Amino acid sequence: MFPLPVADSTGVRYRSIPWVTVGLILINVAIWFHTEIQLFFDTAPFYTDFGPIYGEEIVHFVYGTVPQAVRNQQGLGALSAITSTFLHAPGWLFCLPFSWHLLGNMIFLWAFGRRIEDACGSWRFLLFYLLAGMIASMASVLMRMGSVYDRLIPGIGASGAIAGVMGAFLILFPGTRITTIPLIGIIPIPIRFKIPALIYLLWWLAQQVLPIIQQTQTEEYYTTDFVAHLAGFFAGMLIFLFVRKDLLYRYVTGARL
Amino acid sequence: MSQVPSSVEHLYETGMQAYTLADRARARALWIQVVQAEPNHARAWTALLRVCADPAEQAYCLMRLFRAAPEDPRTREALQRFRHAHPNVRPRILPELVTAPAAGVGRSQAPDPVPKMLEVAAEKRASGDDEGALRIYLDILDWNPAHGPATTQAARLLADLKVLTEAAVVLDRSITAGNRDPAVYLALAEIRLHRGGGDPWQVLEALRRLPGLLPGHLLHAADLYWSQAEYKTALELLHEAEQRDSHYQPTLMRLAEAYRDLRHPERARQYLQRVVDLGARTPLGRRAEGILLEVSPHVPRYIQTNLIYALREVVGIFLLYACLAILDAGLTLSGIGLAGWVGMLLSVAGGYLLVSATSSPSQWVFQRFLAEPDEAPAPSGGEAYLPAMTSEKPLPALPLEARAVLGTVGGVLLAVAIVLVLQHSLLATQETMGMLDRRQLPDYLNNILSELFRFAQ
Repeated sequence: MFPLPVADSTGVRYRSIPWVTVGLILINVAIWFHTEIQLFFDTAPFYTDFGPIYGEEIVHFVYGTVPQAVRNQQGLGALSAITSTFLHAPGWLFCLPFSWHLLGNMIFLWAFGRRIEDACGSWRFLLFYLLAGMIASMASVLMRMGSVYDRLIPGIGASGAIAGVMGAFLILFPGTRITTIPLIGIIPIPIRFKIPALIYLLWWLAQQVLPIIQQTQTEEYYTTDFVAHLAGFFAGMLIFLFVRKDLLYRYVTGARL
Repeated sequence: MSQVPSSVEHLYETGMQAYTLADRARARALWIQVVQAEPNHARAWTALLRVCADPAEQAYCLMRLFRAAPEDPRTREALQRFRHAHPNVRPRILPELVTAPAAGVGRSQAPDPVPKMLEVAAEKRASGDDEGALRIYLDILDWNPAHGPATTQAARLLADLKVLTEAAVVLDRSITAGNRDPAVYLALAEIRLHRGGGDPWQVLEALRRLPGLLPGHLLHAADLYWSQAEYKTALELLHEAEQRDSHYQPTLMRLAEAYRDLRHPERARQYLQRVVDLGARTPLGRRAEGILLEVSPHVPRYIQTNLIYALREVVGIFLLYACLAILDAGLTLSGIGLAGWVGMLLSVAGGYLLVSATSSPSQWVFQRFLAEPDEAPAPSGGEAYLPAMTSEKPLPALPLEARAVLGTVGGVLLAVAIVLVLQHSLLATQETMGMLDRRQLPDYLNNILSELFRFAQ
């Protein structure tokens, strides 16, 4: 059973419409659908040394963060650290295009992003989001460069940036409670549980740390980039550079946020 | 002057003759004239005691006799006997002394006993003899029901003794007798609101017609209206208080609270801001600032003008550019070329200009370029209530035109900076996209895929 966060349950007073959070969700969804639809109709292959290859097989290599390409300043280079945060894994559900990767990330972004955007203001939140995503990508590239296999694998997904948002949430609002719905397998149970943000986020953090420790001992490969999650989470500490003045003032003076 | 005593004595003697002839009414009228002319005429008071049938009037005569001749043991003895016989009787002034002025006889220059009585009462209060003090205050009020300090003190003591109805009577009598002290009106209205016994609104209406009301009185009256859900009138009074003194922090604070209660947060915020502007370090200023922090995005002026708060946002922008530059250089610092470093520097400059144009438009850095803030109008009496209150001189924000210029220049610098820090990536991206458009796989991608193909095999 996995507690899926849907909102923070305290008396949230959103001072503005979370344009950037909503915009990021829409952009991510739009890019995913656009990629899926375009590649579905793009049947002309690319010819490689080992035979023809189709667009859907290389799109993540072009726009994702491939450590070897970044290191050698090839492809999109630094730009891939940004473009990769808008890419998500493809998938199917009941013969329809569907991505658990995308859905999961967007739910987390919706649950935690609104409050952080509220604390920063829209533009500063966007900068913070991009910075957290970039730091997550950099850490991931640095870690994966040591592996002969991983350095060739593209890193995609908004999870590094969203981990940054979660880290910021832990720092700014540790006393709030997170409303979650239990997920058994892929089936959500319509019951709401409220979990203290501190406990929920530390539990989530532990879930990222344990596989990394395991990975260093067994050299096992994971499809999830836990290092990026961890780096993004700690990048959340940079939130103090982006929060609104009044909130920072309240934070440093110990007033209720 | 020499004629006055002889006239008084003549009146007294005539009164005695009338009394001997059993003409008590005439005797009383004549002796009344004597005490009007000579308030401390002990024999006249003794004589009046004989012709007063009402114990309250007798008590009054005795009290005046005692005041006229406090050393006379017979007077004290008479007073004690009277108190023993009528323990609950309060002195009441003779009606002729209230209504009829002395006819044909000039008032003597005898000293007014009231100040001395107030002193004695204060001493009694200090020694804990509240009842003794109360008796003196009531005595004074019998003589002069409109006496301000005696009214206030008596009402307070009666309220302390939980005899609010009596306190209301004292206050009411004082107002009827001509007391125009707003505090008396307010006290009476408050008692009537909570205990009944009369129309409080009438008293409050009368209060509003009084000349020279201070904002504090209006605030008190507004609170009474507010407590009875008469919000419109309460607001009218509060605004009237504001008009009388726009620098009186309690009025502005009360208006802010009123508008908060009435769900007008924006108006409440304006008043709270005015309270803070008048003095952020006063208790009310601190309270207003606390509420401002709770209800809306609020930054104290010294934070608004703080350079550190502005620079931290610049650091955030710089970090973003630095990450891009490092990634562009293949994750090595040594790989960052001159253009990359220049780009990072430009990001600092552009970021600072952009931050100054948007979130930190009032910084001391720009102070020399800013117009002097408008002088606040001189306080019109507020300092009388709050001497420590000092108005802070606000630092104005940059004019809108200047902000537009700064923002544009900052934006251009940031755009140039991004081209500089991403010089390798932009070129490589252009090349890669061109090849993909021509349906050709870039070499690096071909190599990566080949390597992966070998792993898969």
